[in-house]
Amino acid sequence: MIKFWLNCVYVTLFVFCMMVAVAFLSDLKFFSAFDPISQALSDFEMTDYAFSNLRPQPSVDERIVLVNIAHIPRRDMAQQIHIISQYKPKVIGIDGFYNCEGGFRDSINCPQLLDTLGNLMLSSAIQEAGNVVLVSKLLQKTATANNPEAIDRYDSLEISDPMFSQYSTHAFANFPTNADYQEDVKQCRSFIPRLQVGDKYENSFAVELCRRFDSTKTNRLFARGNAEELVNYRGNAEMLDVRLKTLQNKDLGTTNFRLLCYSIDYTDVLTSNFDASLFKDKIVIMTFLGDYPGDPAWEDRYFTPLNKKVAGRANPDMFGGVVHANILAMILNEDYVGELADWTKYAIAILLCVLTVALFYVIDEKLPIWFDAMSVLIQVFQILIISGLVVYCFASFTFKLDLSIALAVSALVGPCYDIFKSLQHEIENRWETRKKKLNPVITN
Amino acid sequence: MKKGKILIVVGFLLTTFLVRAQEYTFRVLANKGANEVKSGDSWQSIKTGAQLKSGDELKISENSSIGLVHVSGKPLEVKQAGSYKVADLAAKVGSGSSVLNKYTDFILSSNSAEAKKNRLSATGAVHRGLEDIKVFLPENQYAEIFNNTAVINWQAAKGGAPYIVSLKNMFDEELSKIETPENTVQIDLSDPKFVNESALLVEVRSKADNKSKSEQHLIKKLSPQRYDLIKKQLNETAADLKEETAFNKYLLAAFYEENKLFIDAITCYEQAIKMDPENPTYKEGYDEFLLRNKLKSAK
Repeated sequence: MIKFWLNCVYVTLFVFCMMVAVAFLSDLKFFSAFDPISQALSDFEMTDYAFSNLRPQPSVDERIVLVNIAHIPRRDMAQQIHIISQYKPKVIGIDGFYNCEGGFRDSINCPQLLDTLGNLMLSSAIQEAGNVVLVSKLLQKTATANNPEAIDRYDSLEISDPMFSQYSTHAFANFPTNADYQEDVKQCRSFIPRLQVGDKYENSFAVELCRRFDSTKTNRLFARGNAEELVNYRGNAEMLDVRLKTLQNKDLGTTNFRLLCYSIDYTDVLTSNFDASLFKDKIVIMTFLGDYPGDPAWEDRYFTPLNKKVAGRANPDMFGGVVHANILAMILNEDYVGELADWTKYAIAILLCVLTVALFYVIDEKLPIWFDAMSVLIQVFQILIISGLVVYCFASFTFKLDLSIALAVSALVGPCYDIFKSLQHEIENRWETRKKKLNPVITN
Repeated sequence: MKKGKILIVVGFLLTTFLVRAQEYTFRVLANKGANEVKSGDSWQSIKTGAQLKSGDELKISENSSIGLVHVSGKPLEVKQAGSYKVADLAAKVGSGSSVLNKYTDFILSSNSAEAKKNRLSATGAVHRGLEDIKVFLPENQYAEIFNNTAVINWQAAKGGAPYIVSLKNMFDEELSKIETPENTVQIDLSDPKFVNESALLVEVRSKADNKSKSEQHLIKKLSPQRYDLIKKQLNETAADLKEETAFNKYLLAAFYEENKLFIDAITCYEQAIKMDPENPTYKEGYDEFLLRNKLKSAK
């Protein structure tokens, strides 16, 4: 019996060695030039199915109002803030920079400065509102940027011009993505709640808005102690502009859950075409949602797990401001995504591997003719069950059951068992032959 | 004493029932387009954040949609044009299937749905609205004019001055052609050339570059009934604005805008700016008017 379980452990060790070898080979990127599948699936996760299609419809968060700022000039922005602040929202977040990138202050590189009246109006509106949070951007100073070790270490901030920022607080709007620059393709799954910048801590935009609304919720977020949190996306703010009648019956949205919270266009704010209770005691996020409702613009638009197309080429689905709103809704509802600890992922994979190998040994011994067919069936069955379990756990309990190691084990265990058995037989045969050759010498 | 207690209990129950009856069924989360709600006898335009009660009725116009949140917190999107009873919409909320059912449906149907669709929906071309020259006139449904004077402005992305403004009747016959080095022209509809026309088509093109031209815009005279109605309203509500001052023109512009007579509103703003060019209020008000009525894009 001990020999049986020892054999199971040896095969398990062999499976993990093979996994390391495969990972090492794929790191060398020998085949990546001819590997479009792994390139297309590099951003894919099983839980995306749950996010985009299988979850029950999440409830709307009525504490958040998104206001589209389109490309309106500063004086209209001032008027919007003035109108909104009359209705006493708890906090107003402006998801836009009012400066010139690179710190330019001359009218050639920064023509916005020429509109002195518009700038004064905006500054005055922010001052009068008194509860405005402006976005900032995490940056690296030259020395830090040139240091290859300084990954995700930031020591500088880009903020709006002092005439606006002096009357507001700021919080960073950066999201962890693989994008190299703002217009690059970007996918957002997680956010960083706060980060040390120089000798101070800077909160992320959604966290700062939440802190101003209900600081106990942010304290609970910080108490979780996670440097990075997965975003539990609840919905989008997506309206469609479909003019062809034949297409109007079709579902052309990029997401299935299109209503996260209140959203209103700038034209409705400027004409006061909203109910008086809309902004009262709410969190208002003034952000870019396209030039008009239903604008399929790609500016500041992200791929998120809510995208109906979970892998391959697709249209981005969510504006940056709506990503902030999703984070905010998650913190307010304390509806975080649960995750397995790293050691648990390995423990599950090892246990699964040992038990599968044990089953293989039993089948190999009792039904040797059926072994090949049954081992393949078991592997396929395991992969399907694990994939389904991952999706079901996420859809039902918002728990991210990361069983990718277990999946890899399921895929490798069959071939590894065969190789190990062949090697074992070969070694045993050679040992027996060698023993027979040596025996006459010993007897002589 | 016993009767009194019964009355109090009945009164309490009745009050509770009435209070519950006043509760809303939906709130408007997002509103796109000219949608309306009938609460009581009258139709009103829908406002974001407004409450919809069980007895109300919704009217969704073409290429419009509305996002609602039910009192239970569940969202509902209505995007098909037509009339809807709020009570009927409420019945649609919360009938979602379980995760297991969704999973089964998803596995069984996702591939077949992908295969059964048209593959020639997209073109390798773009729609060009002839917008090399953008004329600040409203869409055709708001092209009505009350007064006899219309001021037409435009902005040229391509092709410079001089411009040719051509005015045609509904049979595409040219009634008048105005050449101007400016980006504006004023037309008088009481001119004998136009007096018998109920509608005019306006097109602006660059003389230097014939390819640079605007879309055709409509200017339509009011029907006699609507003309009388507006005139009556104007006499009632704007009787003290007859004096020709910039401020009065500014106030009149608001009256016309409220009545969707955007061409008259434009003329009033232009006249106000001309009368008092130093005052920034009129210019700013004009810009905001153009922006909120989508006559000009925000850039």
